[in-house]
Amino acid sequence: MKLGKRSLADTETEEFKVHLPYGLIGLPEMRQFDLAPIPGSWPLLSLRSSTNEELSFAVIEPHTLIGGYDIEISNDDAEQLRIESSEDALIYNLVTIHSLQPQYVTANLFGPIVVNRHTSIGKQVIVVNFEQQSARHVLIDERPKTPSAEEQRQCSS
Amino acid sequence: MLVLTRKVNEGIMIGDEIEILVSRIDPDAVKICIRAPRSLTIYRDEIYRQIKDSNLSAARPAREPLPSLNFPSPPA
Repeated sequence: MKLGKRSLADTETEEFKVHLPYGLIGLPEMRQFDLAPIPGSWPLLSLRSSTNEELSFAVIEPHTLIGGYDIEISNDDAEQLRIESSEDALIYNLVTIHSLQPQYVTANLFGPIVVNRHTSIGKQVIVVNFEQQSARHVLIDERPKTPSAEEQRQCSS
Repeated sequence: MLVLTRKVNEGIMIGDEIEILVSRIDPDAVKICIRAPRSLTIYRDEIYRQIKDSNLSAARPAREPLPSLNFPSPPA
């Protein structure tokens, strides 16, 4: 099933509880989260664990930032989440801040968190079309550019 | 780690609910069939590790405010 462009704003709540019965991949105990926009930090939202209050994640709603991010989830996942149409789904991608000076920030488009916006139940899924998606999609990259092999060859000739 | 030898069409049971069958053996690949409860998600291990590593690197201390990041301006 292909999923679309719903936002937290559509649920008309400031804060949204998200329940992931299977936790995050590799972090199975992380099941309960509060999701909320972060004032002044567009486009990031905070996905804060209520299981382990020390931990938080920054996430994006991909359609606000990434054009052409069409994902497809398996029928098993759609059935498990009771998602019948793309209108039912909220999609979040976890963001990693690798460095601040220079800034290098990526999002995981490969394993999004898909949430049924009616039930608040979600799952981190591997998208069916994973070969077209990156686990490190660049959002910000201000690292100095290293010349490519092609450019280096041209310089030395 | 437990190591077992199996031939084509021989299987392994893990507990009562997880069944693994060797379906085909080629020189450099093995085809495996898995039957497991739907509550268990089955991943190729390189994909599982990639997502796990990505999740761990995305985790932040909740008390620390987000640094200011140079995203483009929000749409009006």
